[in-house]
Amino acid sequence: MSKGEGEDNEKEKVEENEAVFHKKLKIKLKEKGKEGRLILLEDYLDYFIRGNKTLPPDFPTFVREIMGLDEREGFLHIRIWHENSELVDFATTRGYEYKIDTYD
Amino acid sequence: MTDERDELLIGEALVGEEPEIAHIDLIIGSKRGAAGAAFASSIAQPKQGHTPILGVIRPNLPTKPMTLIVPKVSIRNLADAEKVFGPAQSAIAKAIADAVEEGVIRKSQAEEFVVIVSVFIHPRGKDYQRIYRYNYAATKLALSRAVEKFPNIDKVLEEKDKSIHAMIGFRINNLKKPPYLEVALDIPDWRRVEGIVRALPKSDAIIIEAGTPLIKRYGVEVVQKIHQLRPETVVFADLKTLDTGNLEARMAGDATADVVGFSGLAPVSTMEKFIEECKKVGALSLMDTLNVQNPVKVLKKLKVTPDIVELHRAIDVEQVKGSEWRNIGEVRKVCGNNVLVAVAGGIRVDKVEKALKAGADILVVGRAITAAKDVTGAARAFLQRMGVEEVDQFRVMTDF
Repeated sequence: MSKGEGEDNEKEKVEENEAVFHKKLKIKLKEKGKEGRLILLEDYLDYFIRGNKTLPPDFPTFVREIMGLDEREGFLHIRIWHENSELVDFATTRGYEYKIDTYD
Repeated sequence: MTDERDELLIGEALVGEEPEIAHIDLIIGSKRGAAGAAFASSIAQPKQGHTPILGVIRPNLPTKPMTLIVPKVSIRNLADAEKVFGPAQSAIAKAIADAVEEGVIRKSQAEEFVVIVSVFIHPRGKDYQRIYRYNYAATKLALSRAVEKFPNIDKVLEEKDKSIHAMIGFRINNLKKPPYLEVALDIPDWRRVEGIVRALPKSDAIIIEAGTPLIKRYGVEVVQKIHQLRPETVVFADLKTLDTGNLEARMAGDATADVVGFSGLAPVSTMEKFIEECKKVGALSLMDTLNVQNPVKVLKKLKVTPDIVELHRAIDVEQVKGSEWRNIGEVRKVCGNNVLVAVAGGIRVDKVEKALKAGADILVVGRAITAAKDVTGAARAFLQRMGVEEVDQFRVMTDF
């Protein structure tokens, strides 16, 4: 049983479904195709190492996600849950063109 | 000021802004006591890069009481030396003389006493005006503090859990001022967790729980990542350890967990080793009582008791009227009234007062906050109902 669960599980399940409020970070690759994704991942890793930041724990999953995402007019659409997330900071500091949208 | 010849007075002060920031440690006392011995010993045995010099008002005019200035940072070149032997020593010498003129040190003590001042000059400090002014102010402040024996022990005890170190930017929160709101992050999705962590209000009263599913997915290192995002917040690693108590507690401690949790269903020796290891790594230990029939009975078996006991209600127990958290008093008693009690399971805003009234110190809340559309607002609603001041962790100490 997880910590938040209690006598009103059903109610909470409904609330959780409603609370899928994530945003979409649309980030433009610097090059098209696989090469552009590899550059983005290298940049992302470099951002953490040079900034003396701990790697995000989902980094292996993120790599898989990036390599598998569809490219839409040169942009990758990545789910984020906060407009100040580390991915947004990365995109800003490393000069990537991006915009943040709420999910369709 | 005291006339005790064997008394050694010690003062400290930090003044100014980086990089010229001045940090002074000083001792003052009789030539015939420990201060005099240290003075003579230091001047007779200079160390490379830390050569002590006498403080002079101007060349050939030493200040009184005689003052020895010792650089804290190794002097590596002429530029470093000029800063210490120029503006810093001049400011210190003037501050000592002014202290005599102002009565902080009596004139009659000017011959009897000596002062040793340890001075910090950052190698990147370049502005001589700032070096002079900051070191003058810091020396006077450290001297008056030494004479007043500042701080008294009551001040230290009052401030130790409030203050933030200027160069660290956060402090260790030992959970001495309940109630606390523990936000349980059981979601095994890092980006969503990151969003929640960033959305939670800044408050000393919030504990972030790296829930078991989160740790199982990403490893205990997830704690360190949460601390990178919120260094000031207490992070609890909910390992629910059942075996290898010392090993798992050490792993969590190394990953910077402030609180580490084990299961009350574990063997007694595992629980004891876990608690002992937590003490070694400087973390608080938490016993989770999920599915433990009689937590008090388990606690009585332990030679050392945990810092926190989490009463984690099972659904069957929840349905029995009047059974909510009724054994908090017994838990406290068996732990020598030196324990925090957390309550988990079905805590909503409308149950906050009831839980606190029952004696809970920590309220564990999961999806009522993490699944809310407005995470910030949901957490604030709990904090407000708990009567907790929302922001006090960035208090700047300027009251002395």
